[in-house]
Amino acid sequence: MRQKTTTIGALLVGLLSLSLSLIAVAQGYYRVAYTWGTPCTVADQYERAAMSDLCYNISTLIAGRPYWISQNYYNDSTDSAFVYSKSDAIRNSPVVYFLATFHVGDAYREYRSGTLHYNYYDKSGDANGIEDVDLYPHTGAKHYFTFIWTCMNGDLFINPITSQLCYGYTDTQNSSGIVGMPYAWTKTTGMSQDGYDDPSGSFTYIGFENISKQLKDSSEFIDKNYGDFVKHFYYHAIVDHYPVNDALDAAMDDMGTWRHSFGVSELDTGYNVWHGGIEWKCRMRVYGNGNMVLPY
Amino acid sequence: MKVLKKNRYFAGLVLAVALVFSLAHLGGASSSEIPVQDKAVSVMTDVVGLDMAKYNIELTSNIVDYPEIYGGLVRDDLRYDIEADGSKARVACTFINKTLTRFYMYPLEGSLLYAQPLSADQLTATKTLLERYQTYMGASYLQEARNILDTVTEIKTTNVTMDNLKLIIRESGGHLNYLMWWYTVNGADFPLGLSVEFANGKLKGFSDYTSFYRLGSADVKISREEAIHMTKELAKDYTTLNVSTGNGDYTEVTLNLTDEHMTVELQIGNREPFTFYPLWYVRLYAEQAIGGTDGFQAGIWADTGEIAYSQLTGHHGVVPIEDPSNQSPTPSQNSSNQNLIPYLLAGIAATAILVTALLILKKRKK
Repeated sequence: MRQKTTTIGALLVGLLSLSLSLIAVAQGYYRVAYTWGTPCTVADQYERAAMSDLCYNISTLIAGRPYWISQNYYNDSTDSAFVYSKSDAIRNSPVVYFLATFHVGDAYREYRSGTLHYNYYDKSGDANGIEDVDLYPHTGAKHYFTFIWTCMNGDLFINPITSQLCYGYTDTQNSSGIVGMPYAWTKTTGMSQDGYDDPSGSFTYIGFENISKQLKDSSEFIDKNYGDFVKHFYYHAIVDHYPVNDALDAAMDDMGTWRHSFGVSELDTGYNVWHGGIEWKCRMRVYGNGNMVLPY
Repeated sequence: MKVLKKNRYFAGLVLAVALVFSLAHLGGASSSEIPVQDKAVSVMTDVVGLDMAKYNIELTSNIVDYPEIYGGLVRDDLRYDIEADGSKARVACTFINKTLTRFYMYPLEGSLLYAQPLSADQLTATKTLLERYQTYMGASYLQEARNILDTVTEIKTTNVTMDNLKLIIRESGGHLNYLMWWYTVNGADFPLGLSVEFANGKLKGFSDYTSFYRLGSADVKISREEAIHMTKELAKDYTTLNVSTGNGDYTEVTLNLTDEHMTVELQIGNREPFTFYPLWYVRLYAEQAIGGTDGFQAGIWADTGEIAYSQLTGHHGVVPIEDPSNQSPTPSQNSSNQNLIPYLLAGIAATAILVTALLILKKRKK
């Protein structure tokens, strides 16, 4: 009798395990969030601490959500080959349909065959990091939400072939490959260039035009900083299920200043920075669909 | 979740009963006793002019909290999905102490449907909105806000002043971005708390914190020169940086600051919730950026000389000072499928508990 009961129990366990896996697969299933970051090129220890804290915070927040898989690869795991391989794994996985990416670190630009490209450093800190041309073959499809906190990787610039303002294009003049990080992550050149005020499409990409803010910078908030702003943004987007634009507005309101929406903040209206003898006009840009709701 | 339109009669009955109850026992209901959900719908209808008879309205989120930034006052953060044939939008309403402070619309499909349309001309639309809002609120400051707006005749980025009132207008690509009302005391601009925002040429919403905002002090006792001096003194403790050598170690480097391109502004900030004080903002630049660090900044309360904040400034884009050797990375490989294991283990544990419970029950029956 006991042997029979044990056999039935084992069968039930097996069936339940199988059904759980099948349910996950049938639901289309997992949403994956990766946080990346590279402190090795950042000289300010307080900024490095803010970067580490933010990546941990975002990853932990998302890890607690049903159907989300969250991995924090900040620091030593942020290696270009690994970033590309994880991106491939997402594309090829039958049980993942949505990737949310956050990266914080330093950007660099580099000529390839006479064309200037957009890149950011990986853990090595040398000019062999995550580069638009090299990233492009590994992305698209499920890379729906990307937030890159570096300088320049949200630039709008003139496409030399069409003379149109763009965030990315395929360099057919010098055959150096694709240009622009928003294009590299989304594989589309059709995203709205103002996803905050005029949202459309399937992808959302957030980045900085020209010079970024630092996370620990509290000049806009006094007793809070941009790291806090990003934490509140993810909370509203992931926990409250607010659309991206609503989450940006609500996060800015949470900072407790007279700026009660993202649209009146320096991040959106812009700010000036002197760098290399030039006064740069800088801002954060939301590309694509600011109405996107990160999946439940 | 709550479908208001479908439950209108029931909601009306409940409201009527509640009103009778409160009138009988409290001798009358003040504005603060009207549910914020009713106020939100009223703003959509009476202030913004949406045609709520055509919309199905669903309250999708109603978060109540007591944030420290609002001094512990109750905040109701409401989200509605409104949907009609060919028109869908998300509406966000925030109330503090039952007073509306933020109202924003996020169109998702088609154009918004208005029973009382706003003019396509954004200045006229703003004037109409404020007129309706004044009728709704009955507040005198809105007349002053309207008076200064009446002096504006074209959409352009500008600051307009009338006595000590200031209207800041920001435009891009021929469209209004936002209008924000301020007042000036002792050379410092303080927020009135009222702003109207547009997105892609259409009304996005407005915020009104006027009944909460207070002037803490307008005294500017610290001079510009004193603020600069204080910032330079503060910076002395921060100019030693740790820069990566590329092999996992860090080496100390000194950041040299200069007066070139120095930024000094008299701003305002809130030291307590909703209460504003004058604040000196001073930013010093480095002769040369090091590892993304390009200077130092401080905020100094102009009325007391106390430090609000002080920190190094920088950005996230640098050229490394040394060429690190090439390394072969061997990061830990966490495949997505491995993350199914916790779910399977949880399933196994749940089944084991279930089976054990069944066996115990079976034994007891025997």
